[in-house]
Amino acid sequence: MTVRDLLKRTPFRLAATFSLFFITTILTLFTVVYLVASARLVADIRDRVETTLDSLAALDGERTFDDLVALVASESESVRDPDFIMELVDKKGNFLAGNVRGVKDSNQWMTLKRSDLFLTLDRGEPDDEFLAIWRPLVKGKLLVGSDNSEVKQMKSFLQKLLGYGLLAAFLAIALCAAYFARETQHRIDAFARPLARVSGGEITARVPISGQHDDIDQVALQVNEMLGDLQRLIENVNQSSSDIAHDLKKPLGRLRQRLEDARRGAADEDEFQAAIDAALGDIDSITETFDALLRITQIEAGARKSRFVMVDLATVLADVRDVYDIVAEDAGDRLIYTTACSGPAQVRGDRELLVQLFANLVENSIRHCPKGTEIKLHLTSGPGIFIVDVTDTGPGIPEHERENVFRRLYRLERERSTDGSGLGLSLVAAIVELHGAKIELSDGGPGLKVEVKFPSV
Amino acid sequence: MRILLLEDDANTAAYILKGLEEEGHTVDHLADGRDAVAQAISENYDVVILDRMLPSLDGLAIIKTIRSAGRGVPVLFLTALGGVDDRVEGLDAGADDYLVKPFAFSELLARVNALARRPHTKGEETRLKVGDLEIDLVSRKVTRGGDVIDLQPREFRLLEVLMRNRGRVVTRTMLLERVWSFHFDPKTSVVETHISRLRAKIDKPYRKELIHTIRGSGYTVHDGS
Repeated sequence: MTVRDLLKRTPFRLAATFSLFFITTILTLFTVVYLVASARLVADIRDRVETTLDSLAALDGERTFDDLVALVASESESVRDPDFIMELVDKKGNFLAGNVRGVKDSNQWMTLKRSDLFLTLDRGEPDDEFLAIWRPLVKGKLLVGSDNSEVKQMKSFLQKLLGYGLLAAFLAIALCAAYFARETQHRIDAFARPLARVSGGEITARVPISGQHDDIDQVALQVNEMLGDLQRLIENVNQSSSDIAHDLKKPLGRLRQRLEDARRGAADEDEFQAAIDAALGDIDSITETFDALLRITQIEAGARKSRFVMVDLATVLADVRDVYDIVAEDAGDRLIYTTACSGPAQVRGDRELLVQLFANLVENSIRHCPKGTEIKLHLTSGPGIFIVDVTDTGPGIPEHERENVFRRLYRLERERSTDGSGLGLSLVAAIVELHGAKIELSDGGPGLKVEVKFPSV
Repeated sequence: MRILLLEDDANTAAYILKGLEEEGHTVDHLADGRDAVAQAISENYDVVILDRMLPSLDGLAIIKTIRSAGRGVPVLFLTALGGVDDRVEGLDAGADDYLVKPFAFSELLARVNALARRPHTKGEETRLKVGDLEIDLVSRKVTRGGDVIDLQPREFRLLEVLMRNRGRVVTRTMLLERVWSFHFDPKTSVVETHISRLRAKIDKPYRKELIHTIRGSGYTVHDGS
């Protein structure tokens, strides 16, 4: 792995960002501590200087000035390695007493370096510093300064602490980052491998779950779920494709047979004509299967939703009844429509498709039930829904086949020999889905009960 | 009738051309969309038959151009797509009727015939007459030989579509579309059943049949003279 690669890895970038943030925080913290503590120390030193000045200045005055001179002289001599510097001068600036000489005049606080001072007694370090101030007196001026080394000591202590602290923190962060980066990289690699296998066509490969129930596991679970859906979809597509191929081969085979028969042995014009008519019929039924498949695909694509308008289910059902009641009658059945809704049953939808939905269900009942069947369309409403029941008193659909009938090209065992594309209920399911409705098949006791629930507007 | 056929597939074009010419129509055939627009606008045709997918210009664009040039010539739209949305798009663009490939020639012919005279009937006809059968579209009254025949609304609607196309063949699919707005093929004998109910009232009690079945094509209303 090159450095460039390393820089692109998320765990590394996270660790680096985190370290940077951490180090900045430590630096800021130390700076604040230093500023606060040093300000406090400086204030203490100034206090000390002021107190000394106050006590000495108490001797200021015509009569006691000589005592002051003597006191300053003795004080400065008693201090061998002085924490304090003092200088007393007269009005003209002549040195009277003290352990330093010739400190420049100023009415502000001064930071004086030992090496810059002329000290009468000098045993300290040359870069020691003093914090000093002049105070004007009646007969002269007095300077007092105090050693500033505490501030310096604290500063160097804090600097050392900061240095070691940063080093330790950096090492700890680097170790942690390396560890987490490795861990995460392993898990990401474990993620990427099965996905690469899926891309390579091994659709059953799954991402491993660590069992830690963490965020990566969450993503892994979702990815696995998605792969599962994908697998089912692909299997569906494969299944549909082979179903379609099978379904078309049968009529194509029949068509070929007819044409061959006609070429070989048509006795006369009429027989020839009949063979051609039958062949055209076969082609029509193949086209019909294709149209139905295209229609289902288009409905499933959902583009029709943009044309949805308010549709009254009651009038849709009444229209279906008006078309099919006499068709049912001619087939020896009875079709009735009843409603438990007093007003219109408004849903958002496509009228043409809704008519086809119920027409398909009614036609299924007419075609697959014996003579004398009673087919009922019934409209009711529930909280937030409209329910349309289509029930018949026919043979029903065995429970284990109820899910399958919505599959494309699926036909019940007993219906294999009859015509029909096996697409009617798939189309119904697609229309139901497009309208955000739910469809359920159940036992009509006896017969079949189809319940379609629409969300009301 | 003068018909303009815009179809790029040579086989389909030859098949349609031959069929229409056998029926006695004059057909101009073009395969390119751009030539077609100019031709359709400058010449006077009774019907334009237009393929949805043409090289160089989309069928929808052609219809729109013809319409925006102010030409009201009836347009029949042929499409291989056959999806629900294609039909709506075509009709929205200004086509008068549409037909999905593959189709039976009789279906094409019936639709061309139905389109032909439609827009030229200035002022809506309100009374339609075939032999001694007469229907009034405003009062919705039906009489035959002076007898008032009581029809249900759905029976009236079916008779109305047949009468508007009197003398011409109306196919099963056309009836499904125009009478019931069914754009799918029912698996039961919807059309046959409704026709037989209508016949029971219109034809059965009388000596002469007016509603005729054209085998393999559809139905027509004429008095046979």
